[in-house]
Amino acid sequence: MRFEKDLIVGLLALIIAITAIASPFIMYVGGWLSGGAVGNAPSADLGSVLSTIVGALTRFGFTGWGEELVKEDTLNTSSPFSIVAIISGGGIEVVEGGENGVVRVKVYRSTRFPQATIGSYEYGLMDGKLMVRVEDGYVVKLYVPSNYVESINVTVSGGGLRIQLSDANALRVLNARVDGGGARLDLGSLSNTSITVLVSGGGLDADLAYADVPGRVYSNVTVSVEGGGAKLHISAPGYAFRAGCSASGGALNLRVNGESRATINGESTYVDPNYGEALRRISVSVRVSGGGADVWLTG
Amino acid sequence: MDLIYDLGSLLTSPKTAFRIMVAEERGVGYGLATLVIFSLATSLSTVSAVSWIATYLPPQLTSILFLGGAVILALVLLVIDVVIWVITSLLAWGFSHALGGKGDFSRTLMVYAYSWVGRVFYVTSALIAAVVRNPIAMAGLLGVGLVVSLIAKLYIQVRGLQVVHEMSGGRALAAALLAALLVLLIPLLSAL
Repeated sequence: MRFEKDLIVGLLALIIAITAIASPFIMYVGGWLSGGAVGNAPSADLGSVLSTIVGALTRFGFTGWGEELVKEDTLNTSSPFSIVAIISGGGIEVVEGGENGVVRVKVYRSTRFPQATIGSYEYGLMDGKLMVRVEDGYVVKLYVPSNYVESINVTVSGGGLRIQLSDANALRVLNARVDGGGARLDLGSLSNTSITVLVSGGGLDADLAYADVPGRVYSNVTVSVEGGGAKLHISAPGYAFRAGCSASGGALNLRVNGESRATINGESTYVDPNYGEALRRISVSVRVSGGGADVWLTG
Repeated sequence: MDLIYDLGSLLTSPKTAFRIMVAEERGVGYGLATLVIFSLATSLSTVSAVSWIATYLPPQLTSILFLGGAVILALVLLVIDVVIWVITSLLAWGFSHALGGKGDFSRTLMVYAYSWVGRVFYVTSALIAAVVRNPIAMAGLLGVGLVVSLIAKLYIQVRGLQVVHEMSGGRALAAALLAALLVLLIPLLSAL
């Protein structure tokens, strides 16, 4: 006679054994066991799942272990600047720093095992540009005065990028190109910002919060996903939205104020009834030709 | 599905599990599959558990050593496990008959192959150690896992010998212990 208890225990034993057999290969891939974003999928539709799984890549490189500090530096500036970040491996993290006019830099070398190659890194602040380039094996953390950041241009072809600025009220231009790896953007206090995102591989996970500022505000957001996944959550209380989204391949989930407009191979549009007269407007354009996109707009 | 039920019942009630296997005239196949799975799981989880040591090596070497070494070690230990399985089964069969057992050699082989499922405790502790990545915790976890697994494996072997050789628990324990001790002594004696 067979019991369900035996089935459960047997299944558990087999899962443990298979996990053990796969464990060196899982470790070789590196960092995946500490992911965790997959479990937080907000909805079960294809676009969301795709973008959330790929978005988990953005956690890679920032788990807080397996890194040793190899260099600390400070860069001084008297005027606002642009951030230009190029990542082909390793990671770049940009977070708010304390002092005005001072950018603090910390460079970490990955000691995580196994590490196939060690590349190089460079950074510098010149002519209003904070340039950072990172390859495999290094993580550069920049602590910037967020009200000095006028524009951000990032190109990610591997590794991970995280930008976390809760007071990015000076930011006017954000251009992100993700060809591989992952990028995570947490930006707050946005207003007249032009945002252009192209994802052709890897994943982008962006939380953008707009400020309740007086006067006329117009922000343009263009997202193009040709592969991989993008998760874009825009929170803009008091703003009017206009959204035009199309998916010619892959999946798209447009959600406006909680109402889902999921589509696969189709178009989805939304225009706020008072968009024409609104003082504060956000125009969103999303095109998916492969992979998946999950776009939430909350007014 | 039978294999999953077998693994579960061996861990919850090995005597009942072996009675079912004998009644169903089960061959060595599933037992051998159990041995292969848990032999590979043991060696590869151990490699993962001790992988932090390789961080002290040049980074260009670590990947090659890690994956290549893991695969080679797993295959070598699998061959060793198969040899140990055959020798221990032969010894246990001999001691069982000397102590009044009635079962045949193929059933003894089946019992010993299935007993590899006892390593699940070691494998679990090695997986935890791989995540913890702390030398002291690793040593403690692997040590405890090893002892628990040895006890579990011996318990499954004793229950199996009891069923297939229709012996008392005491005689089955004696046969299993003698077989295990002699297997440990063989390398020592051969070194003399």
